[in-house]
Amino acid sequence: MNILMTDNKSVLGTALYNRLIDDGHDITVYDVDLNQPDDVFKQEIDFEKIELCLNNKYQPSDSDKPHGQLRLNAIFLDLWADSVLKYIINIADKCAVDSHVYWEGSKEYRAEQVMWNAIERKKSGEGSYPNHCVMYIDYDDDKASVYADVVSHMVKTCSNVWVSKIVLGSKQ
Amino acid sequence: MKIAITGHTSGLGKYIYDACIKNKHDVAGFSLTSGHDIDNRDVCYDIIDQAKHMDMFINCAYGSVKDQYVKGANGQIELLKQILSAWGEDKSKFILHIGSKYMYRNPQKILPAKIYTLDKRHAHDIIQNSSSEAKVFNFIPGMFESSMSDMWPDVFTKSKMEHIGDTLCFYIENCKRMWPQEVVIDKTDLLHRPLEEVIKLGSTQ
Repeated sequence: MNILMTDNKSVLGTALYNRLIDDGHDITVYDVDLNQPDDVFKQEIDFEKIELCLNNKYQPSDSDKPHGQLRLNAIFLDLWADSVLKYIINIADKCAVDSHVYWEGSKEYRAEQVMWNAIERKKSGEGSYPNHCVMYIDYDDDKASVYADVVSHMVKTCSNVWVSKIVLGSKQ
Repeated sequence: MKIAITGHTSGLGKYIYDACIKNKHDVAGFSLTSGHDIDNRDVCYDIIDQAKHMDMFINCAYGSVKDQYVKGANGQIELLKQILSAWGEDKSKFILHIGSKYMYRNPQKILPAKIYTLDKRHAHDIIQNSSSEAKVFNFIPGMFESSMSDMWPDVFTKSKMEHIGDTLCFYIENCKRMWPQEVVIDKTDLLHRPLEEVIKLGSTQ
């Protein structure tokens, strides 16, 4: 499968990249400044060739616009809306689905992660959407190989069963 | 691993039961055909008691569809409450609840479907608000081939049960490495589209 991923340098990105390569996939790494304009994404990505977008890089927004990971997801959703054989997996921080009272990090960061929940709620209603997933995880380097196993399994089985949401880790 | 499962003689429950046996687990099944009517609260207590030394409880059976909706009257919900209470302080235990993606939909005009939707939504709320120390996993499949899915005659695309079952088995077999809180499964793209459109889209890919 032709997969585009946005990070293969972090511990998780490396684990994901190596696992998908081992699985025999053709990987394009598109590791760019995610604060660039939408038009640049549209010009630089081969949306016809790519079959699965692994949107796994987060970068804080430097403007009033939503952060780039979210905007990249929106572009894929828009351009692939009528494609039954295209897939999007977004990796998000589980703080988005945990109670805010347990969150000790940056409020701005959590607010940007919570934006994924709005996408989920919208998708849960009536309407047509491509194969789209938000994978909520604890960013823990020790779990990178576990997360890679999950993504590997999701990709292997995607034509039969699509995981449209997964929350990994203990409840808080 | 010692696993207790309800609804093990038909549908998804049977598929999981057979797979767990094949994978050398010690499995105890409880279903209506084996004399366990989960709509009877005392039977639920009996099942929970028999499962007390198990490692995992799979709450698969839905129970019977009632004539009218009564919040909390459903057998699967009763079992969910009881197992959360019994295992709530034990971090070593795994609870797997089988939900349904149709909890997200507006309640259907067809009464059995409406009751089913509201029950699944209620169970989801119980899990969300639970403070259980046990590891609780709400597995939320979309429509798949089963006797229950016949309640939705307007839905034409259904996943194959073995595909849903195999995915569930993946998480069961890896439970000690990764135990999700929630997994929602679907072919979201196909679910709400007319059949003609799906065929047309498929042929153009």
